[in-house]
Amino acid sequence: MSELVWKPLAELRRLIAAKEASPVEVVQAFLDRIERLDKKLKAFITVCRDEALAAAKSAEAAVMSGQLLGPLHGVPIGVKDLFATKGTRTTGGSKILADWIPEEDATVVARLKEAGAIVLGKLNMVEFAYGPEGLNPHFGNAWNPWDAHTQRMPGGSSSGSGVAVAAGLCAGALGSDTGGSIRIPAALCGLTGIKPTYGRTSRAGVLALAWSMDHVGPMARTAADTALLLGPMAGYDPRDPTSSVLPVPDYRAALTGEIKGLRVGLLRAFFLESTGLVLRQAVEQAVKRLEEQGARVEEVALESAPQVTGASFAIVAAEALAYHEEWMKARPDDYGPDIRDRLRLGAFVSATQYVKAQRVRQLIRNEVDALLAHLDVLIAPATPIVAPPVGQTEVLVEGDRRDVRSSLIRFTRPFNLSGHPACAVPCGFTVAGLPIGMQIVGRPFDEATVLRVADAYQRVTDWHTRRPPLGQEAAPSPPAL
Amino acid sequence: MEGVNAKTLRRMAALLGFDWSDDELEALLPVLEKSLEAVERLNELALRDVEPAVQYRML
Repeated sequence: MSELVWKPLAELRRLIAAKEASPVEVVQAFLDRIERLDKKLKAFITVCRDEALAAAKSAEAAVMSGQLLGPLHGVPIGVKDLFATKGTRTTGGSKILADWIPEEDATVVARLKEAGAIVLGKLNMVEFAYGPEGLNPHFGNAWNPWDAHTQRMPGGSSSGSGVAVAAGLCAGALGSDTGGSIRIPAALCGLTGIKPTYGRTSRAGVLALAWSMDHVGPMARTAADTALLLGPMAGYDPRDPTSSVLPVPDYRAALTGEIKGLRVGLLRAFFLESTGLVLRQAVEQAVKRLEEQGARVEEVALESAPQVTGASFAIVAAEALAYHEEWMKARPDDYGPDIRDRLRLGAFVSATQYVKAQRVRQLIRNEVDALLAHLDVLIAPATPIVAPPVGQTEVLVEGDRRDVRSSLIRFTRPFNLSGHPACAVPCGFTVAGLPIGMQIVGRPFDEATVLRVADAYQRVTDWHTRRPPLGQEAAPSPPAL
Repeated sequence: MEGVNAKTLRRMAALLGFDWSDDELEALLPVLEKSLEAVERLNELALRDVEPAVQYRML
C-alpha cells in the first residue's frame, strides 16, 4: 500500500523535483488505489488513466531534463465533473450531458495544468450541482469513506471531490459552491475546502447553477495544500467578466502560523445555538485552541441570517431554471426526478421577488462587512449535523426534528449570498468516527488570513491527519470528543 | 399560502412555456409553500434605500 497517496501536495512536489519519486510512480499509486476502492466509493465518473500516465511521463521527462517546474508539478488532482476538460467527457453528473466532450478546458483547469498538476479523472457530483446531500441517480451515490458499513452522505454537490480526497484517491480536488457545495462535503468528509470570494476564481468553462451565487475552489486534506491549489487558480480571467482584477497574494507565504492578536467573531445566535451538542463543543474547543495561540474571541451575531432562506431560494431557483429552461422543455425526463422538481420551483419566483432577494442580499453583505470591519474572521460550524445515512430525510438535533437538506446548507449559504471567502476545516470527530467541520469566514479577497487561521489551527491539532476506515490501512486515531 | 394550488401553478408555468401536469405540480406544493413563505418574510425588512446586489455596470 503506497504511502505516496497520503503525502501533502508540497511534499509530493518536493519528492518529484528532488527525483526521489517519479511522477509516473505517484500517478500509478493513485490509479492503483482508485482501481481497488472506487467500485465501492464511486468518487469518479471518468478515470483518465491513459491521459494521466501520459502526462506523468511528460512530467518525468521535464524533471530529468532539468526544466523549470511549476508549483504543482506532477501532483495528481481530481476535477469535479462540472468543469470542462478538453477532450474528456464532462457530464455535469447528468444524463443530458452524458456524451459532451468539451473542446476547451475550464480556465481553472487550464491554470492548474499549467502549474504542473495532472488530472486523474472527473469526479462524481450531484446532478448539475443542485443539492447538498451528495446523491446522484445516474452515476450512483458516492460513499462517505468515514463509515465502511453504512452508506452515509458525503455531502454535495462536490461529493466525489470530498470522497476522493478523503479516501486518498487524489491529492486534491476542484469543487464548486453555490450554497455550500465545497464546504459541506469538506465538513462531512473531514477535509479543508475553501469557497473563495465571489470573483476570486474564474467560472469560465464551469457549468452554471446560479451565476451570481456560483463560486469555484479547491479541496484538500490541509490548509497548506488548499493554499497551494488556490494560488494558480485565482486571478482575473477575461472569459469571466465577474472575475476580479485584484492581484493574487502568495497564499503559501501567508501561512506563518502566527495568529497572535487575531480578532475572531464567534457566531452563536442562529449558528452555534442550532447545532448539535457534540458539534457545538467541537467548534468551541477549536476556538479555545485559537485563543491559546493568542487570538481574541468575542461572540457576535448576524442578525439578518434568518432571511437567508428566502433570499437565496428566490435567487438560486430563478437563475437555475433560467439556465436549464431549454433542456427542461426539450428533455425533462432525462433529469433525475429530484433535480427536475427543484428546477420547477424557479417558475414560481416573480421578477420583483428576485429583485427583492438581491436587495436583501446587499443588506446581508453590508452586515457581514460591518462585522468584519473590527474583526479579522468569523467562525461558525460548517454544518449543524454530521453525515446522515443515505435515504434519511429528517434528523433529530437536540430533540428538534429537522429536514436534512435545509440543515446541511443552513450555515454555508449566507456566505454564498454575501460573497465572502469561507473555508471549512476539520475540528473533531464524533464517537462514531464521523468528521465535524468548522467554518472560517474572512473579508473579501482576504483568503490569505482565512487560510492562515486554518493552518495555525492545524499546526496544533491533528484531526486533518486521520484516515478513514475504508482502505484497510487506517492510521491510529486520536481520541474523539 | 392562500390561492396557491396546482391549477394556479399550471397557469403560471404555462406563461413560461412549461406544460406540467396537476400531479407534478401537487408534488411541488409543500416545498414551494414553505419557500414562498420565506420569500414573503423578506417584506419585513427595511429596503427603501437598498439597491439590488446585481446591477448592470459599464466597467
